[in-house]
Amino acid sequence: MSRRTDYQFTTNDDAPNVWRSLDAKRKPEEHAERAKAEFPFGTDGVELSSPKPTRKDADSLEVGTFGRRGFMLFAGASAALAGCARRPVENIMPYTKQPEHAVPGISSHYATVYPVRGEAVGLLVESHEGRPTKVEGNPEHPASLGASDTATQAAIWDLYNPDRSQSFAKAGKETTAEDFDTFFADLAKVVAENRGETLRVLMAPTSSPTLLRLRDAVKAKLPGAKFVTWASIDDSSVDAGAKLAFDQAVNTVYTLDDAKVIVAVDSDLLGDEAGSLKSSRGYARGRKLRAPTDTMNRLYVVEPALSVTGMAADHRWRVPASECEGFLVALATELANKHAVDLGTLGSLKAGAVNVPEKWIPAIAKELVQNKGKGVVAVGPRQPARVHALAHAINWALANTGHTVQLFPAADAEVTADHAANLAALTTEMEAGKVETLLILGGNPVYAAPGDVAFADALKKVKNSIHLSFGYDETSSVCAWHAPESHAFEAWGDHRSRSGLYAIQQPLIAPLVASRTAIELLSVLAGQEPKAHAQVRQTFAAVHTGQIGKPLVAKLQVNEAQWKLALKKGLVSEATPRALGAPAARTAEIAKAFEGAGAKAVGPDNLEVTFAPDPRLGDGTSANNPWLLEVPCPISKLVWDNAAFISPATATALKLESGDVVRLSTEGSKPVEVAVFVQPGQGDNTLALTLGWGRQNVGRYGSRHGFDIQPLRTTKGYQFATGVKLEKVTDVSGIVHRFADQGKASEPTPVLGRVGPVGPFDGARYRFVQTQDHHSMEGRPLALDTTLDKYRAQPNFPQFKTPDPKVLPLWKKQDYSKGYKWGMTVDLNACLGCNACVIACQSENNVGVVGKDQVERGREMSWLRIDRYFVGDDENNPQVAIQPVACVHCEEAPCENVCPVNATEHSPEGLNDMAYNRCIGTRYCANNCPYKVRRFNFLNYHGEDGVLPETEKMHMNPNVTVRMRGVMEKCSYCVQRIQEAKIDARREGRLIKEGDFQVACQQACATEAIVFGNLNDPNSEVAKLTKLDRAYRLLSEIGTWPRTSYLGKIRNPNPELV
Amino acid sequence: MQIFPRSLNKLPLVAAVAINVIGASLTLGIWYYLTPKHFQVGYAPVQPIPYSHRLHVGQMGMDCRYCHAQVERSAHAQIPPTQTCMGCHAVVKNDSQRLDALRESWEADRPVEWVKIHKLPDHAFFNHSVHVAVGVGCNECHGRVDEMEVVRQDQPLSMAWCLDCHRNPRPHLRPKDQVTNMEWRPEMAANWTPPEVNPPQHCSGCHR
Repeated sequence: MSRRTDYQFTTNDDAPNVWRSLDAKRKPEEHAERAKAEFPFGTDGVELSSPKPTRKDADSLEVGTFGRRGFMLFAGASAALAGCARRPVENIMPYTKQPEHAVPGISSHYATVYPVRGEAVGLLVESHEGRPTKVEGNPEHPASLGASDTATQAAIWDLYNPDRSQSFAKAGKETTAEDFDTFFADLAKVVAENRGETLRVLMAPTSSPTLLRLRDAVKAKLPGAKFVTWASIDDSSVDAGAKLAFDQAVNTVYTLDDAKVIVAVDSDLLGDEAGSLKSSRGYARGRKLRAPTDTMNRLYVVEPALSVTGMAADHRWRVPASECEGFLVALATELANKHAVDLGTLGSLKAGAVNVPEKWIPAIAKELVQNKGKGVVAVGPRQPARVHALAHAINWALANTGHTVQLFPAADAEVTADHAANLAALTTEMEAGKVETLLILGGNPVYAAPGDVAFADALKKVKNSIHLSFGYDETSSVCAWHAPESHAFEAWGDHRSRSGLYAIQQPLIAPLVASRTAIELLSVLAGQEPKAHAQVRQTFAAVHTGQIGKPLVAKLQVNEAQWKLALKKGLVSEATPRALGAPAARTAEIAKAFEGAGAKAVGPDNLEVTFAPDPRLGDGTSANNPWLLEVPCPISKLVWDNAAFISPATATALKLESGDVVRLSTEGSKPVEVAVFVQPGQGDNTLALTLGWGRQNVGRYGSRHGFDIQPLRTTKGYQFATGVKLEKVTDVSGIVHRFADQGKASEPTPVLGRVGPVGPFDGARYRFVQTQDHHSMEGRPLALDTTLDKYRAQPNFPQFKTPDPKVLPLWKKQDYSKGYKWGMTVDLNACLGCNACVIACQSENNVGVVGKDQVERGREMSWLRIDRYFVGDDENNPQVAIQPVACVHCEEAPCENVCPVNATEHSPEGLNDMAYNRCIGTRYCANNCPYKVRRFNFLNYHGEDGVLPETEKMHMNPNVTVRMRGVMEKCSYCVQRIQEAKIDARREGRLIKEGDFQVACQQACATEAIVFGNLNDPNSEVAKLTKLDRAYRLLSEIGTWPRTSYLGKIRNPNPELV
Repeated sequence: MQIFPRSLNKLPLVAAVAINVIGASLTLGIWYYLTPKHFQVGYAPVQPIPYSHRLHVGQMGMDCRYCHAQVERSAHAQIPPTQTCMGCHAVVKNDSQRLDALRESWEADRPVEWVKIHKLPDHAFFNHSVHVAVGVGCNECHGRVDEMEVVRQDQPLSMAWCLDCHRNPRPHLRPKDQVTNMEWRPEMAANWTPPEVNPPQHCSGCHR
């Protein structure tokens, strides 16, 4: 008689339907069968979506240049030889003159600042013996608050990018820095002869006071020269809208800590927008329920495509981008007419048909009025300036401005809107032969120019074209000169945060290749001191003495003590401007901007496309970064690709399925071929496209992945466009060359396994790889969520909680009541699924990248994965639950019991340790892990010896073993940080106290969703959170006693709209 | 017909016993002798500069920390920079041929390539500072460096050897001010009780 009972759990009847992917929802049996295997695809006879690799392919793939048998031969021979040989001689190379603060073995952190998406994020970068290895946020910096995002975390890899531009180039041929400097110095004299009449400088908007000062200096010296502002990611409507509303250049900063109602109109304010770290922190603080009596904020999202903010929404409605304006106008009208909110002439704007449920606008308006001063209406950069201005007017009329919506004077008083038009105007000038010298400071206009702007052709008519860029890219190759640009960690600079805080960009390392910065080149043009260091010091002195914004007449004296303090802290707090308060919004002017507005409604005969920076690659500057290429898209969980997202309903109507290739074109654009991906939550009749992919020659990792959709953008439809023509492509032979040739396993790739034996297409269907399909939930409730009302009625999640099993243990339970007892909590109410923790973990723990083909086989290595579940029965408009899962460090760990060599063992502090050198790779542990968090090195993902470029290895954390082929690995709770803290504490003769260290994912998290600490310390945050009624342990009913607890997600729907 | 002599009847038995005995002794021999204790101890490579610890520590009585200055702070004790040597040797013995390599390093700003003696595998993360902080003497692991003309490996530095002490640390501890004293003997602090230190014995204590 078996004592084993069937797996049981209870859910009450009103528990919602939860599903991992469309596939899993539509064909549950098939999906469950596929996910059953420990490593689902390709390893145990389950067919890949394309033909299985042949034996020969597989052999050569496994060990590179020789087969499995050959490997055994060599392995045997080398083992025999190793027995006879002494250890190899190693040398120790001490310094000759040791720098004062450099201690081998002790890392130091340097404060610097890094520009991300229109915001300057303060950072503390860890450096080992002069080698930067890890990025953390600067807790004192208002735009970081100690947190970081994927872009800043991944910046460290970019620094060591082996395919960054290695040398200066003249007409496509390598040349020296001296050559370039001579040419450029002469050029500066030549352009000065005609007062710069034929000089144009193309640069992205900047907040750097030094760059702005130099720009003004160049303009003063060369009055004929023009500066053209353009960036592929055009956020200018935000500034233009604010200027329209307040008649001055201001930055908007959301302070959501006290907000009660947040209305996001086509705005990803918690995800991919300027200031998202600060916004996310505030948003999450308003949702951290500690007791059922606590209150929480409510988030309404109206957007065309599912975004990180949309996934967090309490109420979300899918509205095409071109109709979001109508929604806000309707809201304004409702506020003015029903609630007597004084919006002046804006109250009488004509609202067209608004595609939201009838009750929505009255309900939202009522809430906004009830929460005057505690609401936010946020508009995303995709929307035109007038919509931003209208939102400002609403926020001002509701007294939110000055409280939840704060205004600060912008660093750059010149507001230039509409980047596409700027670039088009420049191109016309170039074609007319009016531009003799074009200096392009960063950016990649040849790749990213709108489809109706023939920038590349016009560039040929420019005599002296100079491109400063980090990589030798599409633009560099057609310019007369190319200068490598220094990485932000290599060069002096400065930035202002959106709230006006001045911070110095301090280099951590001398440039790895000879390179220049925009500051240095502009200094030469301005006829000033060409050293960036000296320039930044002058700006610093000007900031300190209140002379910023005025031209410098004499050299300023730098206060050395203040300068050192500023470098140490990473910011200059004394010189921070104050918030502007609440200036009156100019309602009449805003109303004027709405004259003649109104668009044809989006429908099956009028499709829409929206453009957005990719949540991973941004505008494509970091397109060679394998961390970003492989991290699953937060929305779709696709890896190594972008796609045209399409809603299930529209896909059915157009007879399209995921992977089908379509040709899109809009008025004036070039046609673009892109594969569609059916994405629940996507707006009907609107396709969401992301920038940054499909670059043909960006480097060994990023070349030819995804779809380049840039030519579809036009000057008129730069952010979104309607009237899209869509045509299904049945023959892909014409475009197959655009994708990495994954047909040749023997291709000399730098790291094995990053390409595989299967081609990019399966017939005419593009092969997408999604991580979310890899494991099955087996019907268990994992990511628990409920509504605030239900939580208040029954605070303990009784509908989900299952008792711990009452089986007698087979052995004596370990006593963990003394010493440290490490534990973690993850607040699902705060987690946004933004991926910052995933990249932070990868960077901290030397986690490898495996390639698209290996991910398809279920071999991804990420220690921390973010599961995304859809909740509800509506395929088109589901709710979303997000759950980060790493090793939960079970006290009764099933993996440990099955390891034949004791390679995974428990520490007295409750860590589930992994001793890599004991592991013989049986994979029993991974099979027996109920959470599926163990990762196996099927191949040498870090490269065989000597394959990886030396510089690329430099990002590795020296405190963590680099794992090799055949070894199991998983989350270690950042044991290297625990041990370091323990050693530091012991040296000082004390115990670790709360706050001594943070684990990598916790440190990166903007929403403070992850908390780590000592459960035996009753005052520790983690101990308090574990005792909350929202806390539950994942799969606790099977008796694993996990150390990681989750705090259930609570939604806050408006009772009037349920 | 008897082809083989009768005495050969015992051959299978003898062979069986002999094979077992030889096999066992080979196994045990390899097990015992092919270990760090026999293979690593005594490793004393020739260094680029014939630096004598016996002279500097033994005769002149320099403290370990004069050169290995970070031993109390960092995981690495630190091999001194050329600058530390030149602090004295710019004046002392500044014409000695034996110091040519040192002066060359100083003038060319090129590090001296010392040969590493005490090697732990890459996956073992040893930290000097914490051992010094609890009172493990230098010579517990490095031996009587003050008597070595050429430094050699004194202890096996194997995992079993590490664990011997981690399981029973008290006999290896001394008052913290005696850590660098090469001549220290337990009798010198008869009234001193070693503290409770609880060194880690689990995997992640050293392997990360």
